Amino acid sequence: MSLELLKTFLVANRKELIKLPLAPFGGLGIVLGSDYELGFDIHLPANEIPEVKFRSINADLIIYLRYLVQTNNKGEDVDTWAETLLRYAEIRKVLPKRLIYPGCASYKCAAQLLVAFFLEYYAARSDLRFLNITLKMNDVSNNKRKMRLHIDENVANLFIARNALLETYFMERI
Amino acid sequence: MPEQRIILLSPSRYSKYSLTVGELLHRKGCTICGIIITRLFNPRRFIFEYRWDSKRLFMKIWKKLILKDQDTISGTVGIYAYIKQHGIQYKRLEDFANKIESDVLYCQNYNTHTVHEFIVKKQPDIIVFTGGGLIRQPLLDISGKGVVNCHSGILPEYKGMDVVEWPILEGKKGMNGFTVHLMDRGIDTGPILKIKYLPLTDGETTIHYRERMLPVMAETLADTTVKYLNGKIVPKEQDINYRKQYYIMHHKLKKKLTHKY
Repeated sequence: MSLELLKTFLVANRKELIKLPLAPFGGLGIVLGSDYELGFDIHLPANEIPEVKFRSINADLIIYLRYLVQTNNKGEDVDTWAETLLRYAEIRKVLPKRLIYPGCASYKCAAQLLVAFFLEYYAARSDLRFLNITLKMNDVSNNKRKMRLHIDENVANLFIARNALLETYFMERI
Repeated sequence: MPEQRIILLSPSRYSKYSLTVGELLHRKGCTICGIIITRLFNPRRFIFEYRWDSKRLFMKIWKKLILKDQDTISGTVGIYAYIKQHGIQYKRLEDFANKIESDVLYCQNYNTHTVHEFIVKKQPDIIVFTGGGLIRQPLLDISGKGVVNCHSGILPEYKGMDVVEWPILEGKKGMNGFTVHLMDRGIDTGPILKIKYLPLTDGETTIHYRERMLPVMAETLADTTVKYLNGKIVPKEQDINYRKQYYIMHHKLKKKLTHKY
């Protein structure tokens, strides 16, 4: 799918997309321009980042980590969590998605929330291992090929389009 | 110099790398008191390796069993060429074991009771690992001076998989090489015995580089093992601040490597 098509699709469906609780436009400013960088209009957890434990992984945590990465937070906690999530995603494959699923619209959506975090972490730190895992995760779920670009489709497909856009953008720049 | 007893761990009876390491150690005066070989056709091993390598496992099988893993660069610098040049004439590890009157044990994986008993009986000074799966703590505890392994990346910076490709993609071509280290519970986290930088030449692909690297790795592994046994090398603990672990590189990223050679 071309970068331009994805851009057009996302911009055209912007009103619907910003209603999503997963901050889909967060981090997209790099591709779409600052007009579309809507940031995080979501409820962030009041607590600090939880201790690095497998059981602590949930949708709120991932969204919060995305927020910290995008606001250029250089804390060691973020890096430790990123490293841990990368390891879980590489070795345990589906388990992190299964854990964050209850906070997401669908299981696919949970996967894409993780992909979004990894892409944004890659944008912030230029660590290619994180781009690598997003390519693998999209291969596993084979999302892009099944995707139909229609606004009535489920939330996950919109999120997939958003991540595909970022992924293509970064791949063209290696 | 007292007699040094060594056990060799090999991933396959046809492994030319294991054969070369064993032969070089033998020529240096060490006694190979046992060779432990993991069985090739083993469902558990297949499942384990599939989890590790996923689709790449089929390519490995194709290359190693169907194409017989011959050197692709006109037989001048790979392990096959090295074997020919150094007069190593055995086809399989059993032939080598017969020649040096060493015992061979076949196993499903290294962490079984049979392997444990075999090692306890042989009382080796050291174990040399040339591939074939993970090693658990009970086996490390009975390995004498430890289990020596040669990792195809520079440690502690490049732990894990595809560590020949990752430095190139990251634009650090000078960071290609390999490390001889002692194994511990973690993956590539044990104390370092020797680091050898082996940069890529201009225009060299990773396939060619791996072929060129293999005989150098075998030589260095044998040499370092003997020096370590004689107390000429002191293991150096790895810097624990390097927590980065590399994983299998996606094929789309591998395609990008062609622009970086």
